Amino acid sequence: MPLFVWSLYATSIIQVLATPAVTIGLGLIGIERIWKVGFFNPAMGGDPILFQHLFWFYSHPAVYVMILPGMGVESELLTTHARRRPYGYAFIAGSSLAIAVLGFLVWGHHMFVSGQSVYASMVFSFLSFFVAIPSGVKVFSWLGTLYKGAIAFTTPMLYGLGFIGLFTIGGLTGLFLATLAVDVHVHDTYFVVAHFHYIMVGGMVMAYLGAMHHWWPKMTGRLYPEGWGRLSALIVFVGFNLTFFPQYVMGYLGMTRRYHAYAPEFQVYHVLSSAGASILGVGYLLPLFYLIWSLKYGPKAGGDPWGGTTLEWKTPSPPPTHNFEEPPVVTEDPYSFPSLEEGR
Amino acid sequence: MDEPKASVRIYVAIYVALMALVALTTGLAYLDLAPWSATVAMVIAGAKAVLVILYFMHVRYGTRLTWVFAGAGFYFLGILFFLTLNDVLTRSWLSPFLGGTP
Amino acid sequence: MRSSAPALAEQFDSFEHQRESSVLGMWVFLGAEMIFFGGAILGFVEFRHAYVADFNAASNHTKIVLGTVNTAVLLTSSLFMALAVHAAQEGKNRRLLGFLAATMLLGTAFLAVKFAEYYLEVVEGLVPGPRFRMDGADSRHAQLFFVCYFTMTGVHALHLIIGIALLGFLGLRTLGGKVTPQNHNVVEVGGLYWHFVDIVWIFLFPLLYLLGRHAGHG
Repeated sequence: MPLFVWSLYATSIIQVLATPAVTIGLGLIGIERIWKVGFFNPAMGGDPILFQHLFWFYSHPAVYVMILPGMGVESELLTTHARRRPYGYAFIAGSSLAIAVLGFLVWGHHMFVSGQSVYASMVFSFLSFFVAIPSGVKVFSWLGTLYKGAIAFTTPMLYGLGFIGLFTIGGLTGLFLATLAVDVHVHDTYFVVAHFHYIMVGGMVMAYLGAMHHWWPKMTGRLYPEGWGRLSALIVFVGFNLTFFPQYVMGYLGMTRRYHAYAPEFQVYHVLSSAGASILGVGYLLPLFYLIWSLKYGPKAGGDPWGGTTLEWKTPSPPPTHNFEEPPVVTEDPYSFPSLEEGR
Repeated sequence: MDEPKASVRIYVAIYVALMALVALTTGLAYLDLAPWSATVAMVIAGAKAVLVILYFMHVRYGTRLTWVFAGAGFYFLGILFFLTLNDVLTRSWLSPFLGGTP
Repeated sequence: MRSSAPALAEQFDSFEHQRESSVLGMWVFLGAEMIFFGGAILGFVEFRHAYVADFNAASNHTKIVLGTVNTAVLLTSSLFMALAVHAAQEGKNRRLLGFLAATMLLGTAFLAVKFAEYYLEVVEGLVPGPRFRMDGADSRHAQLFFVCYFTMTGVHALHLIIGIALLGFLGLRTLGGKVTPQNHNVVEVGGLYWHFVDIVWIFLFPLLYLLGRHAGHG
């Protein structure tokens, strides 16, 4: 199966099993408010931390729901645009499942300063280090995929390259946050904000934009203007880093989350961040214009503009109803690129 | 075409066992088994649940994949319980190594 | 589908494949339900641990005879449900309908007993809020017990009502000729749901009615 499909399976496992916890948490809070009883109200004998357990039991796996499809897309982008088989297919597929399972064991790292017991915090900190391992396996596999590849610097590849670097930085800072003693210092500061934006924007949004450009010809039957695509990718990359890197610094220096008024020494970082956000906004708006433009004026795309090997490239663009005129027969594995050495 | 998974006789036998366990658990509730009364009650409940799952829900006759899907819910429920109680039961510990209150 | 008997859907290789997929799909849903009920039970377990004496005292005010009867009623309904699926497998649709009706009847009986218990609890002043009264325990903690009790049994009863409606729907499909020995997935899958609701009660019953019973007779 294509690696994107593996990532979607892993995502759906998480969605099914994690969501009910927040459902019951919300249900209990609803009951608490409507009937004025006290599950989570300490004055009535309840425990506010119980709510946090139920909430984060869902919300931590939820962030893996958010990134796993992006990781699946990344595998498709890099293989197609470097014309390489994935390095360690089984490892990439297996690590998607591992993230799904391990992601359920770490939720308490959002609660280190909530009043949770120190012992439990230590356990969650320890487990949080483990969940980084499969992500690391993926990053190394992607690098291995690129090695000796025929890398074409198309727009999807540019977004794919951005993903690797920025996701790695975001993931690394996740480990800093998982470190119990460090987290006490940076919890609820902009350091956390920067961390998850490196993953969500530097990771997921880049993967999303890469996917949009990669499959745009397939979905619409039109090619977007490649020059504008590359320019936008560059603008997004610059704007993103200018927006969020200063946030790491000011978070570490003590700038708290969710405060509208702050000490003057943080002003310069906020200005840099806002400037970056404007640039990032330009980078987002450009595709909006040229993609819509391409619907009418873009050159017609054939069935396979990138030389891809997965099934979607073997049908016209856009695909007919039911995707194929006749059900296709799959005779080779999904990444049958010719390789330089044997056995890859 | 699949054959019936279990015979009527097996269903009735399981049912009789379940009824016996209900009587047992209610009866035992009146004895002072502290500190084991909660454990005993939960073990009996677990036994009843296992009988229902294996026989009434046909998991015993199911494929390996069915076992995985059925087990997955319990596994993650177990994690929810285990790690939350890991916090709740150790709140009074002053230090992760010492345990207990002064 | 125009024919009255369910056909093999085009994505499946065989009826067995289709059956297994239906069963797996229901287990996915039941897995989610386990976490859902599990969260509520987790809260109860945490609070009982914190307030053992008060929870034991409060537990003695639940109606153990009615609760035990209800447990037996629900387990019997599970037997009838299993026999209903068995009848469907053998193509004995009239028997299937009979067992479905019996299951629904017992489920309704459970609800009747449950609402009788609720009525008694209202009358005795055990509903949390300004009208709560119970001696022998910290009022806040005893109320917390009953908050858990009403929430857990209430959500369970809601699931049971849905189950009874579901079985009614299955009965209608059977009458419509849509249940065959080759494809009785709806009955099997409905059975899985019913047994799950039974299992939830198997755990709720000792937690709410039995623990602490030895300390005082209710």
